Amino acid sequence: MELLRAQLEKWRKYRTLLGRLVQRDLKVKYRRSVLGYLWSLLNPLLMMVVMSLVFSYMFRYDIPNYPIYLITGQIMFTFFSESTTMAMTSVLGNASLIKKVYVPKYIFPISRVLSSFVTLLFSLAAVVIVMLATRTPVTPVIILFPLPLVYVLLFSVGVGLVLSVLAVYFRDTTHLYGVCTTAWMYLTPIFYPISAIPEEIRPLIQLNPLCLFITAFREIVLYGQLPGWENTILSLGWCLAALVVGGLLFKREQGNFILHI
Amino acid sequence: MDREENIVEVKNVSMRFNLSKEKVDNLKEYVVKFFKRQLLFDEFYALRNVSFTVKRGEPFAIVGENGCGKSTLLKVISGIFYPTRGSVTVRGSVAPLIELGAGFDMDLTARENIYLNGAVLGYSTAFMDSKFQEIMDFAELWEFVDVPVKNFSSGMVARLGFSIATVVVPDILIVDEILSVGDFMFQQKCERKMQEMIDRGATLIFVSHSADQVKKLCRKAIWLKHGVVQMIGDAAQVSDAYHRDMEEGGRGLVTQEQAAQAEQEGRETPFFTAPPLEGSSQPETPPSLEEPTAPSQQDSIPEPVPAPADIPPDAAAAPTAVKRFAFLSWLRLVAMGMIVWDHLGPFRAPDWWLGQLVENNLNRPLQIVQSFGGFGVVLFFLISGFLLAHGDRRGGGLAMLGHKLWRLYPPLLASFATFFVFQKLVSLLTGPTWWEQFTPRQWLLSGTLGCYLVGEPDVINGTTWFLFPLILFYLLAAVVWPWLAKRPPVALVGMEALLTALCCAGRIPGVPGLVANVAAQSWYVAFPLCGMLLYYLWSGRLRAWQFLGLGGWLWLLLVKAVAAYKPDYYEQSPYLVSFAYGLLLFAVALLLEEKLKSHPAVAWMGRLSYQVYLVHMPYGSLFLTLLAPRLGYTLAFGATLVLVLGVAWVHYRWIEGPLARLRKKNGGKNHA
Repeated sequence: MELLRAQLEKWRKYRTLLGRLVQRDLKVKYRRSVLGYLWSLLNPLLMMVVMSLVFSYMFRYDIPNYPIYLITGQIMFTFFSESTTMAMTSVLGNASLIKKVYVPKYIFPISRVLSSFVTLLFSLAAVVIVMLATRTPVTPVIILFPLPLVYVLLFSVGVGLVLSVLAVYFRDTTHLYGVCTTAWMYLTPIFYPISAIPEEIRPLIQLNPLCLFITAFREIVLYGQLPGWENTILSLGWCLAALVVGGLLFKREQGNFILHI
Repeated sequence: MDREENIVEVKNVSMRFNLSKEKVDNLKEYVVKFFKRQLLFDEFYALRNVSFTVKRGEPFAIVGENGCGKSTLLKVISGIFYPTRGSVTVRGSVAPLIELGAGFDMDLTARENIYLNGAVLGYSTAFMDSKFQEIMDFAELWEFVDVPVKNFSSGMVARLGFSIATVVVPDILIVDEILSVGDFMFQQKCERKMQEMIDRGATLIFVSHSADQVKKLCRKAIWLKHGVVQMIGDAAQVSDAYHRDMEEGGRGLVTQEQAAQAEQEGRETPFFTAPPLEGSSQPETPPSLEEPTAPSQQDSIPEPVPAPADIPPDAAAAPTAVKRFAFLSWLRLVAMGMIVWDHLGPFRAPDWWLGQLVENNLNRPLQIVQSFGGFGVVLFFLISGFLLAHGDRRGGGLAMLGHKLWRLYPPLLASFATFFVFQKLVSLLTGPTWWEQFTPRQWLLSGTLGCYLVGEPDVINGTTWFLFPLILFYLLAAVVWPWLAKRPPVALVGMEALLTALCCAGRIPGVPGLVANVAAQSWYVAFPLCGMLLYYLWSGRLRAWQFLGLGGWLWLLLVKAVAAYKPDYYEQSPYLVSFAYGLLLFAVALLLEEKLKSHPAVAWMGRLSYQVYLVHMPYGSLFLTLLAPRLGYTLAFGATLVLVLGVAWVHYRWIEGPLARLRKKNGGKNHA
């Protein structure tokens, strides 16, 4: 109990720092670009245009309302890969600070994930624009849209914590992870329908956490349906598992970081 | 009072660095070196078993030559390093003036950096707003307020850093020879500011080579050499001894096994080549080693004592260490074996020759029902009751309940979660498994024990019914917990009365479904209660006539409840015979406690027993359905046992273990 209170106290104390780091990340990201934050919006839009052109004319998938199908999957996955990649190098990147002052170290991966999350929120505007442009019907279910975003946020925090620990011990992780995200992207139904996957491995793909999150997001935004129970339980389970594993691993290893960075 | 005074306590702190000459930080090198057995780092201890305390308001100095571990010690105190061994307790806020401007981002302006660095030190934006003026005034950098810090001179950076770090009066001020920054005027100003902070109640911890400064500013001092404490005591004496040693070439004292044999022979400690100057250096040590460095001076921080009201007067005599009963791990092993035998053996394959053999020669003549299943469960119940009674003087009732639930519940959830994923994976390979038929609702109800509240059996695992009465038992015990420690007979009467009331309530016509469902499971609580009775009889806190009275009551309750809730246990398969055997076996094992020795393997299996209980049914059945057609039942049974043990171990290692550690860390100190 005492420890929990101390922990909360620490959270409160370093909340400002978390905010500052997020701000700094965002500032650094769009420094000296003319359009600045607008890029968070334009990027997914332009990507969506390119990909819908490619996949509508070259590989034909019969997916109704393909632009939305694409952009919903794409912003979720982009967020995940960007935030975890950034979180991975966060501890290494802040080595100079960690070596000199005491700061709770989980602040670094978490701040990176949060700054990506801000970008994701900007990208939601792109989804709205596409929805308006394609005249997608809007149902009351849409108020649930933050739910899948929370899933992917929590999951990314957990994965980011794990990666930041691994990267401290093995710098190779940073290179290897790029390959992993690419493979992961192709194993997630972002630009193809889930029915394009062979029957035998479909249940396996459906256990893929990102597939679950994206499915839930599409159910809510695109199809105006509630995501099923199984989806909800599995999603929450993944989030919880990622957070617990990441949190425990990070907690155990953070004392040793300083010896390796 | 004394502990209040100690603002910093450093206890047996050792700090080890791995001086891997080429840093192994990529995977290939790691693998290559691992196979070449080169992964032995050069270990280097910067601190060896350092202990000391700093009292509030008593300026403290750390002296020693370069590389003796001074800065490491400061960083350990300020929380930047985490000690390899030992502990550091700091009571209060720390302002580390170790490396000024450490948190600066060179691309940001002075103004932005003040806020950023303030945040690094844990100050809010509003607070920094109010102090901004003061900081810039002190740093005298108003004309550069919006200039990026990369254009500053190093002196200006240090001035800004000093101003930010000293913006509040901390409890502890840690200063590492930084007073040599900036021009002379600013140095003077810094010294004045530090003096002012000390006057206002900050405790100074100071590192310096200057004997004058140490004597002027500090009252106590510690002298380090190669990470080993040489001397603690009055600042003037320590500082003098240090300087005398330096003038003599620095060959005195040291030890901690001569800095661990000069770091395993021959590195950077040349003076060990000369024989240790024991004779000449020891008398030199002034006799004023006021605070011995040995840890024995302070006893370890006592664990927070549970609320005094909970402790009976004679609790002081109660042993603080939990007694481990060897016979319990044997009993756990036996019970586990019985249950696994039942569920994976005769229960699944009635025609199996080995099952038939045991059935015809043991179970039938002895009237043991369910191929030992009930027998094993009774043993588990008795063990739980016995152990709870044994621990009845530790903590409060709610804490006990929380502890037990934490031990039982999350592993239960986890076992369902992993099995869900596992059977999904298996179904990919072999086609739909038997478990595919269940709905998410059934998974949810079974996994959370909710099924017993709504009156459905657990269809997925089938063995979790045991946990429901067990938790009910802990709940009942929590109600009478304070009395259980003081006057067991009264508390036991209370528990039996509550249980009887519950059992009866379930039979009242028209009672809500929830009560009826709970009552239908509640009669099993009588088993752990019997374990409790046995404990109190054994430890002499229950007289024989009390035991007989309470036991008789329980027996009657059991007979009636079984007849009412499980008529077939009463009519056809006499369940209570197994109970009697269980009680008998338990009593015999208890009496043999002195003679029984626990084997490590048995203790290990005993620890694993809860996980085995949770996973053996679903995983075991799945393995058997996969293996039996291919291997024949006997071989499949053996292989399944091994696999189930493996699965249980994985759960224990990765789920139950971390959870237990988590609880221990987060203040679960009332229960060992």
